[in-house]
Amino acid sequence: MSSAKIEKLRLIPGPGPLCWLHPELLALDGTRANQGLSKADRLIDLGSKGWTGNELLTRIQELAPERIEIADGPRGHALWQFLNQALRGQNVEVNRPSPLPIIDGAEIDGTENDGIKFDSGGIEALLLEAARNVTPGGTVLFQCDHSGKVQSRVVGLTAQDAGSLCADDDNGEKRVWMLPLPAGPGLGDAIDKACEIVSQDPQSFRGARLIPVFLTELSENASAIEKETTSVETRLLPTWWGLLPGDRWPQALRVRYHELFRLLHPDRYFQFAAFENHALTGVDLFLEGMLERLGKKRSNARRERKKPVIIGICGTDGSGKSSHVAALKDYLIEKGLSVEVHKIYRHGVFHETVTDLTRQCAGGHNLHLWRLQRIVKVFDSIKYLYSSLKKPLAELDVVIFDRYTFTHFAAGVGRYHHDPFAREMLTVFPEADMMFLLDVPTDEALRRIGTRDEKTVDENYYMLSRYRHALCDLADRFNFVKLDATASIEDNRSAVLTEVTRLLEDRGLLGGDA
Amino acid sequence: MTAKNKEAVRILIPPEFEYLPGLFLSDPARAQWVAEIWNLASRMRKEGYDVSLDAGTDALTAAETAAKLETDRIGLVMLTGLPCDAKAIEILSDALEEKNLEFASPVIRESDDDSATAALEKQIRDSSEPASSSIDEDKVFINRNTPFLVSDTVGVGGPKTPCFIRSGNILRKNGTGPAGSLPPDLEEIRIIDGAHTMPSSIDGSNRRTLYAFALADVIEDPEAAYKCCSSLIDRVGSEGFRLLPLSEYVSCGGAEWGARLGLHHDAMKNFLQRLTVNCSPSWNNYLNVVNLYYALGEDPLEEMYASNSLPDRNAELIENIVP
Repeated sequence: MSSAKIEKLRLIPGPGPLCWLHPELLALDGTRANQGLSKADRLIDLGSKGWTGNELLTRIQELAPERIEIADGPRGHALWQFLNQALRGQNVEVNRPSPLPIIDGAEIDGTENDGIKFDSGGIEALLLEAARNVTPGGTVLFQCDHSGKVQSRVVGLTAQDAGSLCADDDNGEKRVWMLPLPAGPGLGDAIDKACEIVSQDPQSFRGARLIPVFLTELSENASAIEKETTSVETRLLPTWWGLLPGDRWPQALRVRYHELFRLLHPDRYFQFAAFENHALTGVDLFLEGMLERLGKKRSNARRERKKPVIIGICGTDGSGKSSHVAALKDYLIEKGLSVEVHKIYRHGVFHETVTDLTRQCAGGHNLHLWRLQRIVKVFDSIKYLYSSLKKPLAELDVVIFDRYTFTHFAAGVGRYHHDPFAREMLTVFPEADMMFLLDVPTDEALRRIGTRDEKTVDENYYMLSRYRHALCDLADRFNFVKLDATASIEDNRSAVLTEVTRLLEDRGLLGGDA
Repeated sequence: MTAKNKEAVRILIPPEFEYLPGLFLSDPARAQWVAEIWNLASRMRKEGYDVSLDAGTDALTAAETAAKLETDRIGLVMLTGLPCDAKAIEILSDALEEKNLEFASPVIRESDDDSATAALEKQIRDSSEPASSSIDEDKVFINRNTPFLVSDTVGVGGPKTPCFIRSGNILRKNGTGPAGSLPPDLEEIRIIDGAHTMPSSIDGSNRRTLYAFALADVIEDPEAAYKCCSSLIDRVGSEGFRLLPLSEYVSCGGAEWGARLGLHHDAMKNFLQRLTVNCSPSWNNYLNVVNLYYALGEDPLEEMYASNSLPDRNAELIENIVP
């Protein structure tokens, strides 16, 4: 452990989604970040040793710097967001980097910053700087020699250029060929033009590895332009810089760009599409990767809990949960146990308000709200835990849940939101002692709920079948008791009561003759 | 409606979903299976059967693949893949059903089972009639992009398609140009597994050689595997190194693709973490993300294959709430 207190700690973030998708770019992501550092200062390049957030915090505590400087740019901004929260209340000053790449030590968007700037050698700044000299339809070739020195030159976008780059002996140099795509009104034409040229000889362009990079506009910078257009598809997080053009990414343009990407990188296409989906829904994979989430095992303390016994019944809409929950409650009360039924998914005004969020996603707009409404629902469940479950969980023999946390998990996967934060937040709920899944084929579920006047957002074939698939998967992984909801109600009721009786006998809550 | 060509047969293999292509090599077992099917199709074309092969390398979604079959007026569609392709085949089947396209029962190629080729051949002979003359064998692949092919013999894929010829633990490329997700200028893959000591001559000077370490060897001795891999990366750089995915398919629940990468197994998972932290740090944070996908039971790449992105499904997702 280092004992000498240092004045300044400079942090360079590791690679992000742009380099994950196009690892060739790593050759350009150099470290030119030691300018202005004295011997008493330290520099940590987080890309040099796979640092996680926890490891970084530990190191910061060891070094105890007076000030932390984080490289400007989108990844630096994400790192700042993490450290700003983690170091809150501690006596260390952390600069707030700009979410946009900084070139020539000057910001390109004119937003305020606290004034600490340095050249991190970050890929975003390098690409942006090189793209300044390119006329529309041009490309940039970067050449990185053995010493790591990077040079760039403007190259045309023709099959001939691609062919000669493929044929050239690169003498061991690393080369990156970039197609800059500036966000703005000419973007569609630029994509179409590139598509037309590349489709003439896609193999040569593939061989030469032409990498399309958006000179991304971010939300903070987009407000003025938004006034001129209503087509806002998302609020793009800074760490997706380069992969998408910005907040405006209408379906028609998206489809055209997919075609270009497919021509150039068919082997990376599905990965790109997955990243795009995460980006549009407001997921920050860069931050998640750094935080190494879900790595910790849950405490065993809850498993040793004797009371109350927690039983959950899950299933898609139309699977018949409510009638089984009611029957189980009656049975246990009859046995002299104190029992309550709770729903952690609330309906009424709350549900309507949340649905309004979803409604705003119609037509492919504001897609980040789609994920937000999930997070709001998770928070409401947690609020319910603290407002309404404290007493029952402390005093009762049995608490029955009509749906439990697993329905949130199924919503995450089923709606393809990728919301690990939801899973982490829901760890405040006690583990269920027994979970039932009432599995019903989607067609049958739709038939059963077909008579309802109003349907929820999930009551259609597509969503119900995804929920069903996700719940069946969770049932396998978490040892649910799985029941066929198309079997007779009596048979299923009997199966539920038998399993619960066995559990309660094991816990000493029911006698053996029950 | 355009009439179908009843005699045209298309064999479909779903794409390989590579979650960590910078860390793992494309699956050579799949590459070998594609080569075997190419051989079968080529042989049958000589007999006059109009058999073509879509190796899933053009990054078409399942729905787009089905649309292409419709455009090409294919009479008989056959699906095949390795056990790990089961879900993708299911997605493809759904897309074919959506278009009312008939297809034969999928043929899954289990490891060490040679009967799959015979099963495909029988399906073709039972359902299709040969023409009186042979059909150009060069046009077996309908794909714009060449798949990764591995074979013991030269000539697979036709004269213009690069194919890796297996000789012991060395796969040497015959032909030029891109193949699957491999680096376009790659010439040779050397597989390092427990039965073979690491070549002492490795010095990293030939960056057209890729060294692939068999992940399965980690189970027996994780420490030795780590030493071997870290030494390899020291010499050839992380660009010249890959891990070989597990060849045995493990059904583990949840995101089953993760089992191919050892994410279901603590020793292998820890090995990957240690290797990326110390030897390939550029991949560490992304490995964390991929671990997260696995823990959450997600399969984002397959979701994209099924056209399930939020903007793609927007209309269905909100169908009950839009006025």
